[in-house]
Amino acid sequence: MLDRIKSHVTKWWKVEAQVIQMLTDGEVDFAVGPGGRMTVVKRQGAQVTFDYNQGIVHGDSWVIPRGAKNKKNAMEFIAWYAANPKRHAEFSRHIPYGPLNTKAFNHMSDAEKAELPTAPENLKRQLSSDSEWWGKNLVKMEERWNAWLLR
Amino acid sequence: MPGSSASAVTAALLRGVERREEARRWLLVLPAGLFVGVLLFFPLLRIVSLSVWDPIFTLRHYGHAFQDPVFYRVLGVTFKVSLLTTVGCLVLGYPVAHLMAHARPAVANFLMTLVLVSFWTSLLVRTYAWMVLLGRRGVINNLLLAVGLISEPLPLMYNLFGVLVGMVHVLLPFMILPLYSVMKGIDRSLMLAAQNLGAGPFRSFLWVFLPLSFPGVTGGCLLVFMISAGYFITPALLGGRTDMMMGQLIELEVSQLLNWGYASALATILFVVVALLFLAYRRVATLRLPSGAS
Amino acid sequence: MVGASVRVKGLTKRYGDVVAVECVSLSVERGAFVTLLGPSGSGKTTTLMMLAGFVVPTAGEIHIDDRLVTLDPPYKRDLGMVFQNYALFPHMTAFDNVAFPLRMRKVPRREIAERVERGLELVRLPGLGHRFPKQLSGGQQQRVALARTLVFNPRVLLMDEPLGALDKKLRQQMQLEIRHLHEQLGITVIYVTHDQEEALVMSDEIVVMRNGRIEQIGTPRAVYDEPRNNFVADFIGETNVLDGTIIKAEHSRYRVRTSAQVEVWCAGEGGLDPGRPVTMIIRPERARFVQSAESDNCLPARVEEVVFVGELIRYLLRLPSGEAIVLKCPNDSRTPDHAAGDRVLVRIDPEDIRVLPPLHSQPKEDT
Repeated sequence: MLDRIKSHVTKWWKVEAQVIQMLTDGEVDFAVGPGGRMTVVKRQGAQVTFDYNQGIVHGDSWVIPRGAKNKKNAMEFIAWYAANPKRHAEFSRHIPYGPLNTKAFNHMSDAEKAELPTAPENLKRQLSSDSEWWGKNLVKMEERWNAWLLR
Repeated sequence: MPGSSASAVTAALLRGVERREEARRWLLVLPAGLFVGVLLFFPLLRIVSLSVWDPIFTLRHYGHAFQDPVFYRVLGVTFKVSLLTTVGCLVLGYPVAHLMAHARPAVANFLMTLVLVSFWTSLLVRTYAWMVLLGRRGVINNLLLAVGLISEPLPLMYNLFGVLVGMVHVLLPFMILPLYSVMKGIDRSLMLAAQNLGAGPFRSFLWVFLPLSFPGVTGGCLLVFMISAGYFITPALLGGRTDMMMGQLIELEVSQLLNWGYASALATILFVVVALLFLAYRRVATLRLPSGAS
Repeated sequence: MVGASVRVKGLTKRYGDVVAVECVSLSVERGAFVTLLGPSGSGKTTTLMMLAGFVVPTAGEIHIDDRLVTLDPPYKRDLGMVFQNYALFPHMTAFDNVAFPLRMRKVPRREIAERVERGLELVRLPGLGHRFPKQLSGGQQQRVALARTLVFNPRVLLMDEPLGALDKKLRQQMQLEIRHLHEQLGITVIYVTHDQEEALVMSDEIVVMRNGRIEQIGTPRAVYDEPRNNFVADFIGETNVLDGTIIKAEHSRYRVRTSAQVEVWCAGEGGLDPGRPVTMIIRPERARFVQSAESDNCLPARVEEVVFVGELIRYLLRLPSGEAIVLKCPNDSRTPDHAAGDRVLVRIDPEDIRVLPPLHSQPKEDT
């Protein structure tokens, strides 16, 4: 599949801002890109639309380094934020990133839900990225990828 | 004899004065020396050591590089782009430097300002400016479409052409400045003499000016080539799929893969290859210009 | 060797309002050695540059060998030029420098080697062809430059202060050598210098220039002995200038009263009326000390300064009028030994006093 489209691809982007730029400038007609930013430019009136179909979902994690000085405060913050679906919902109103706490959707309108990648309707059409596998294979895959790109 | 021993003492004193003066001159370059030592030499050593200590002495990063076809591809692209950029800068820069060297001082100063204007904005801004110009719906394509010269946008960017345009633009001053300083030192009566002796303008240039400007050509080319070889932002933004240069590969290894050892090995190899090239070029240049040339 | 090699008519060069050369006309005989002499800014180098084709004249015509070349580019004029700084190509050996004009003329390789060797021999530098200019002394570089311009048998040899950078000894030696070369080759030479001594030594004819104009053209002897005006008199050699008034004009001499109220006889071509103020020009070596007023033309004076120069002694004298006069006496046993403060008598033969209209009636500096 990739082999077939390779020669038609204008740019294999690396920086997220780049792909949005290229879409809005009309540099490309079609792109794979980050949902959050897509939502934002769409809201701002850019002539783009997008769909989560076959999207890949990446999760971010809260991490406390071992031996952190403010471990207690950090734990308290996570408990305050992560355990509270209302706050998740509020967060997603400010930046269109999907909440991982599914109860958060109870506090949202349907229109709001439709924009978010982790909303049940969107989530079932997507894959989720296997961080463990990538952790093991990143170097190898990157090399394969580069070799393929340069060919 | 008392006289000769006195003069021996004087001579010794004078030698002392001379030595102190020289010591003082060395003292004055100490800050610059420290600066370079700490900020350039030390990190360089660190990179080399990173490439061979992981965590014990190993050459596997180098082995990896030399077995990886990607490495050779990227090295090839790096030299191709650097060489073409150098040629582009030379072709565009030589006439500019020539004009500047022959213009009246006021005009020369004005031109010099124009050359240096590009240093006033950041590299990133300048590269983005090119994206605005070269894009599919950029200024150039829109203009050509409007005039009717083309019916479909030309691919001016995300390919080798885009990379070269951006890099030549950024590096042109590094070609012009050494060229200009050498050309300015060429005695103008030499060109008069050549014409007087029967050489027309073209042959005077070919036989006299061109060879005398050669040190500037060498210097400018070396400078541009070496800076090009380490370039990364411009090819990343303006280049296409196959235009990956060593700087991009190193950046990838560091920022995406946290592979410091391999990245350091790549950096070291690039450094050594460029250094070898530099030495080889210098050797050729000195052979071409025997002791008679200024 | 007859006919004009170079003819210049009404040659003028202006840079905006600045006049560099004003209406210079000149005819140089084939085989002559002509020197353009003048102070800096006199237009001599600009004139030469126009001859060579490096400067386009504002007006005027240049003929070389009866061919109009005013608009020809330098490389088509077939003139050899020796530059002040020699202008040797630093990246070429002496051989390649000398071969350059031949290569430009597509002379066959074998002939080039032969002619370059001969050229280097001519300037007495055989066997140094492999050296680069940097490896040659100033005098040797000068010789290479000469060989380079002579090797293609130019119609005219132009030289722009070619000896200016050499020390005095070497300069004198090169002066003679260039003269010998000129005699040997019979080539027309136009030579530019600000050094009047050099001009006197080398030239068949001297063109004295000032402010872009020609002041006088003549043989070295003529411009020295019969300067047409004060400027020429003063510029060429050292000159004493005294004021006076004509009181009697005879067939070929004048009776002039100096400001010191002493009357002297002066030789002159006539044409000046009695009562007219004049300037008297006296060469320092033409005046001499006398013991008593043995005859006419003696001026009383007081010795102010004595300078020992070597082959001669230079006396600065003060006349009663306050005017200064310089005497140069050979350093021999006949010259009396005067010291500062001595009262002396100076005699000048009438034919050694040249009478000219006074300074203010001569062309002004700023026109």
